[in-house]
Amino acid sequence: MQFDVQKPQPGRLLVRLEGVLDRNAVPSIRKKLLSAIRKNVSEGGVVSLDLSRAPEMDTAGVALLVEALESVSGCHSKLRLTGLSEKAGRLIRLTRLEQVFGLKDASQSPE
Amino acid sequence: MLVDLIRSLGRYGLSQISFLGRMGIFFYHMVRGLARAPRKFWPTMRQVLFIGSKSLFVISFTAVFTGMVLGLQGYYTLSRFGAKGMLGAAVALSLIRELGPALAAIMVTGRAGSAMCAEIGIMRIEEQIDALECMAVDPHAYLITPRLLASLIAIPLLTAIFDVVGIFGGYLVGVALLGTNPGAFITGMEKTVEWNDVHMGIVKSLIFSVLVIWICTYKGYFTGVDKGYFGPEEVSRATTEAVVLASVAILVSDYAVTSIML
Amino acid sequence: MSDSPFIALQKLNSYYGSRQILHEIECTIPRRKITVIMGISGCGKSTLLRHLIGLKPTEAGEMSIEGKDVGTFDESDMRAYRMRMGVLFQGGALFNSLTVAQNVATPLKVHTRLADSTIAIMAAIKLHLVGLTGAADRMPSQLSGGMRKRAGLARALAMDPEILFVDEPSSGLDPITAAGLDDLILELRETLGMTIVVVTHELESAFRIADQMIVMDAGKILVAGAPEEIKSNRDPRVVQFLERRADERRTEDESYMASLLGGRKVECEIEE
Ligand SMILES: Nc1ncnc2c1ncn2[C@@H]1O[C@H](COP(=O)(O)OP(=O)(O)OP(=O)(O)O)[C@@H](O)[C@H]1O
Ligand SMILES: [Mg+2]
Repeated sequence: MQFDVQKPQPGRLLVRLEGVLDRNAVPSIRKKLLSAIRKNVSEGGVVSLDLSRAPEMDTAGVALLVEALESVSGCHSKLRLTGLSEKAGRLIRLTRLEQVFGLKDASQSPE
Repeated sequence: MLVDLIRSLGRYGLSQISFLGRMGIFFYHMVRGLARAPRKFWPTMRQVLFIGSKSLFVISFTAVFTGMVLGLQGYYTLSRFGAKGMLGAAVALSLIRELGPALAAIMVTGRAGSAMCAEIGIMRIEEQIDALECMAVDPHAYLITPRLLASLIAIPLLTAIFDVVGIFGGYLVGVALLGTNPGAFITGMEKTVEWNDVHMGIVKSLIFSVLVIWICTYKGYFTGVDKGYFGPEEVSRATTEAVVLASVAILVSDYAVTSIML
Repeated sequence: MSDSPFIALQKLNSYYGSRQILHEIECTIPRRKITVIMGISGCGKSTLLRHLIGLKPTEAGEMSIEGKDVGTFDESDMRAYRMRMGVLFQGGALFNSLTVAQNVATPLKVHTRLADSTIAIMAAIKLHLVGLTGAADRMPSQLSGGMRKRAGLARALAMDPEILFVDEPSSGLDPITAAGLDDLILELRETLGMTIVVVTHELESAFRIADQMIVMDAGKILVAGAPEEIKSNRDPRVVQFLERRADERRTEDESYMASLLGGRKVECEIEE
């Protein structure tokens, strides 16, 4: 599990996650990921989490996304999930968090 | 008739042997738990608090009175030989070498050991131990090992408290009540008590800590398992057995350790 | 591989002491399906479950998990199997010195190095799934029977298990909550592909969720098969079970007479 952080333009932060986002992987990146987000996010900006290379996740991954969402909105910014796999989307729906992450109906994934 | 007698004797013998074997395996699992998840620091600290808070008051209370009785008896015995000056030494030696470790461990058995046995017994009859196993959590490592570590910390400390409070009780009776010379009491004690004596007390209290936890948690862990019947009365039976067996084991091993270390 | 059963039982006989509880049980638990075990109270359903989760050793008979004989399992094989499963016990089996949320967090705390806050979120997610969000900080003794069951289910789900065993999830629940649990069980199979074994008495919910059904009576399997097969089965005992008819009153039940009269032969007549 790894991730990289880019700043394509001011006010925007792009975090690309790669690997399996499960309970064995989450502990190794959690701290780094959350502090990278907290350090680089700017007020009123947008943080994009690119999950296209992390199609597999379990509840621990979902919990990590929740924590990311918390720290992003703590800075009055927006979190955007991109490249959410169908499987991950189903898990988010199962955990009844589709509203929280702004997931629309079953077929389309959010931009 | 005779056959029946032999048969029941045999059955008794077999059950005792299997009891000993299972105790041994339980001990192995308890120690092996050291190397297994979960981490033990906080659970151990919680158990230290539990043992301490349960037993501290009783131990101080019994210690004061034990010391006072020792002071009283010692005074009359020693005064027959005109050796009243040795009162401090007599009180301190009997407490540090013998009574402190044994009585403190017995008090912990009665207060904390019985509670642990009942708690684990309830976990057994309510299938909580089965639930732990189904989570792939080693119940020994999760339940027993932290208690063992805690008692290895708490019981020697409680024994030290017992000794100090007991000596204070002896001082109270010997000096304040019966009028022995306070200086003689203290220096007599200082001169006679050696590191060897303290060492013996510490070794004993460590051995007793293991015994108390081993027996009490064993009895709780196997509540109802032999009968295959898991009713609440099994918990009370297990608790009684645990307290009796642990107290007997403390006294017997006390003799054994003393005879080896002398 | 995905067609081979997860668990297969052959000629399982089970005893408590000298009393035989299960007779010649043969069944399979298919992968990614919901298997419902039904039967009259005391017929041995929970006992069968104890075998399936490896708590009761199979002394007579054979049980294999993914084709591997359980008899040859060593400790680490068993551990590996149990890491993949979640179990809800009939009595809930909550740890009564921990709060509900701590109960759910226990397996995560032991088996993962996840941060406490992540674990707390995961526990909250699982509690929300079973509708217990408000009860997270209560102690098990402060819960109602049905809530305890649901908390136990949340704990069974904590590790996202591959195979889930639930013993009477909806006993003590109102119809609405029970239906919610049925939905959840179906959803778990669909979204996560879980293999699920449910023991239940509720006929309606059984037929709603089952892919496969096993009907037991007095320690034997009466029938096993798809729900439609069970419905069309003509075995009188099965029909009676499905029609919810009580046993006919047996006036000459021998053990009953023996218990009253101590096995003595008596004769009695009534003169008009
Ligand atoms: N520990 C035990 N010792 C002896 N007999 C037992 C034990 N546990 C269960 N039994 C017996 O085994 C039989 C089957 O019990 P089991 O718990 O499997 O029934 P069940 O089908 O789950 O019933 P219910 O629907 O009421 O839960 C019963 O007759 C019961 O008396
Ligand atoms: Mg049952």
